[in-house]
Amino acid sequence: MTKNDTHPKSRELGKSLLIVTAILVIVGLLGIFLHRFYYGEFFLYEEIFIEILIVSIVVVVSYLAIPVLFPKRVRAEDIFTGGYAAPPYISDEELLSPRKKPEEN
Amino acid sequence: MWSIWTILEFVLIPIAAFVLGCLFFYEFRKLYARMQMRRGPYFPARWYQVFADVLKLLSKKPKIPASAKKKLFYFAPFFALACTIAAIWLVPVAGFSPLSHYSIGVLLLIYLLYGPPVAYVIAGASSGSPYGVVGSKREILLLIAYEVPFILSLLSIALMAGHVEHATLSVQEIVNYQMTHTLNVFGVNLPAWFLFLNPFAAIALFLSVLGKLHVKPFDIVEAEHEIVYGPLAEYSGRLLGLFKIEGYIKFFLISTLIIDFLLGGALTSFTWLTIIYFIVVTFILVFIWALICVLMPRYRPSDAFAWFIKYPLVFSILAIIWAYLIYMPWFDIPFAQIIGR
Repeated sequence: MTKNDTHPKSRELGKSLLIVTAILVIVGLLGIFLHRFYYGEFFLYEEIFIEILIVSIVVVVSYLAIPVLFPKRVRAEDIFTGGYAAPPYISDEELLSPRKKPEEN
Repeated sequence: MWSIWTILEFVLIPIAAFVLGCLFFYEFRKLYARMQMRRGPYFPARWYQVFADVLKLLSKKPKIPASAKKKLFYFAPFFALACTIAAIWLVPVAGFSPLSHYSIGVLLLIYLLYGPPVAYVIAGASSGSPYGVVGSKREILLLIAYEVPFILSLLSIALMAGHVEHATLSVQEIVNYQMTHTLNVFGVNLPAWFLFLNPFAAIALFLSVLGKLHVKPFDIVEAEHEIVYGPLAEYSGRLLGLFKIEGYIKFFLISTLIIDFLLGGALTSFTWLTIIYFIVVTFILVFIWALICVLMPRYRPSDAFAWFIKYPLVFSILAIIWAYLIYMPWFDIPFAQIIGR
């Protein structure tokens, strides 16, 4: 899938996800820093910020993992019921090309 | 040294969680159907319909798409199941709890519950199906939306259980706190459940688990009518069966988690009363989830994301503030008092 294939709404959603994640990273880092600065010792409030940081890191890593894991080339026969939709049931041409008009005799 | 009883607990608790999860899921399907004026699972299989479905799947050979990353495709369901089974060991189930005494049990529970969503993302992305990728992206979107309120509400309860200064991360201590304290409201003694002590945490936790369970209106990850079955679209046979088993155990785990953290939890000793209490409360929770499923249409991903930011996140932040304020000497609740027994 290229960038042009992505639906604009999906792109917007991805943007808002990354903005929220970035905000959470900043909140987590600032919280840990300020907690260390004022209290000095570990306390459960620091744990809250650590957890916020960890969840945002998990989200970023998972989001980045998708294009890495997704194969570069996918044939229509390979997917949809595990490759069992191979011809004569359906073919690449039928699935991906626009429907042709029946030829007039 | 562990006794034979402890080792038996390790084996029996996941099995019991699976059996009860299947029964409660059957009840969920039945209630959901009856509320829609349908019959639901009826004939020939009745209460064992869910077991029959799982057995059928486990007996079938999985089909692997040619474009899938095979190792990861195989790995994802095992990873999800392993994380869920490890999580159920940390939560006291009707008095049985092999690992609930761990001093960092709440943290372990939070990390282990990351497992199934991450497994869904791996499953969807490695299957090579566009539906899987869309489902994975939705899972990530939902993950950040419900996980932050979920974590904040659990940690606010942990803060309260140790009177802030001695905050505890042990699940057993959280349960014990509710058993050893009472809440005196206008002279009437109520159990010191965190449902009453920290209602903001209760609301945030209850709303965030709706996302964790993928029930309507937050079943956008699977959304059969839009993206077939999302990350599991290409799964079949045994591998799909493992995902199903994980789902049923998680269904029971989440209801147990709510009982332990909000509704007093299990009694420390094994009694029939505890088991009856667990079953009744879980039945009520399942009824509420089925009711929500019937009443609410599925949200769009953007709406679901916005909803979690708007409500559960706000309630969870209030829960943290409430947990801090309630034990401050200058913040005295005029009508209520927490008494240690």
